Amino acid sequence: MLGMGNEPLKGHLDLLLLQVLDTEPAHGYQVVCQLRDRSNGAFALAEGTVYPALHRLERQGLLASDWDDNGARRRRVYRLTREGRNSLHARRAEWTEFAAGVSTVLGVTV
Amino acid sequence: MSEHSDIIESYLDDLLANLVGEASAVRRMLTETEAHLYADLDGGVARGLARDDAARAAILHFGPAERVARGWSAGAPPKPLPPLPKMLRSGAMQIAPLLGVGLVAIGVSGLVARAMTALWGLRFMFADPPGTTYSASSCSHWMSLHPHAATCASAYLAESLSDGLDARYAAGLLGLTVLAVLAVRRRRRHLPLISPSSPVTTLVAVGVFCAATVALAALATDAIRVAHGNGAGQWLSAAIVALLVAVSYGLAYLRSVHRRPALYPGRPHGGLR
Repeated sequence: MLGMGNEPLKGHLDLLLLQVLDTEPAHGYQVVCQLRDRSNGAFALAEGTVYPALHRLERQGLLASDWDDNGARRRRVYRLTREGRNSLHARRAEWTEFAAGVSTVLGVTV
Repeated sequence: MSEHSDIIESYLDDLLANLVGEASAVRRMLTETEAHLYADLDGGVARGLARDDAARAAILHFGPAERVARGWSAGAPPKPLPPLPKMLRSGAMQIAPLLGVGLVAIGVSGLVARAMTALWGLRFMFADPPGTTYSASSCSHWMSLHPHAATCASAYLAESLSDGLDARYAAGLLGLTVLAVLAVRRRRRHLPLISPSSPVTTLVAVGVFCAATVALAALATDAIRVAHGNGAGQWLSAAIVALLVAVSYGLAYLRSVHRRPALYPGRPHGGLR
């Protein structure tokens, strides 16, 4: 599958990051790999854009993070906070409603 | 642990040079980027890529350093301003050595004035323009202070010499005190007694002492032209010292500029791009 690139992803990156971290805590590289794998390579975004988004979500209180010094290199591991989980549920519901509406208009069955 | 990669390290240098924000946030971004790039490099090598190719691919995936830094810096919390008392203290610590040197320069100008008085006499140093008249009460006051003076004008000159030089010596002593206090403070902090000022402070000093030189020289020239040289020495003595201090600071600035190492070999000084 061809990579989608950054532009279509920009508006939805926060939702995708929250969704990936809903499964389990992960560091940045794992987040990027999961995004790529779960989208079958469609979401091959510039990986450097993930960190500003993670940092912003953390400042908003939706993520929390800690250093993991167990591996060969120091990594920052991110996890969803309670507010983050609530936000994810709300955003997911919005997205589902939006996607269903667009699909209906387009006459596409998802 | 992945081995060192010059390609990735060079990228991290570029990223660091472009990141703008609070120091701890910049360090965090850099550490995360480093871990990310080396993890991607390891992944590339595991897939069969040559090490350098894997490093280049990792950087390609991550994005150009300038763009990543721009995106990060735009959203990062701004670097906080230091609290006002700290800013004031820092400013005072930058200005205090200049103030000390300035006061010592005034003291030294007193010594120069003393020497010039010996060479060219009191009239050249402190006399008012010809035709200046003094009130009887002033004359009486000066004559009482200098009973050996033959005339009111000579009593005035003696008083001017005394007042002028004493004031300059007092300023010099005050300057030495300021510099001594700064030296003691530095010694207590286990710092070298004398540390070169920042290039900006040094340039400010050059500007201040150059301006003083010009102003004092103008006053001296005016006294020579308009007052037939009467009193020109008091300005000239100060102008000479101000010029010497300005030149010293200028040389110090040039030395500091030449001493500063290039951050990237082969690039101009301070070549951060």
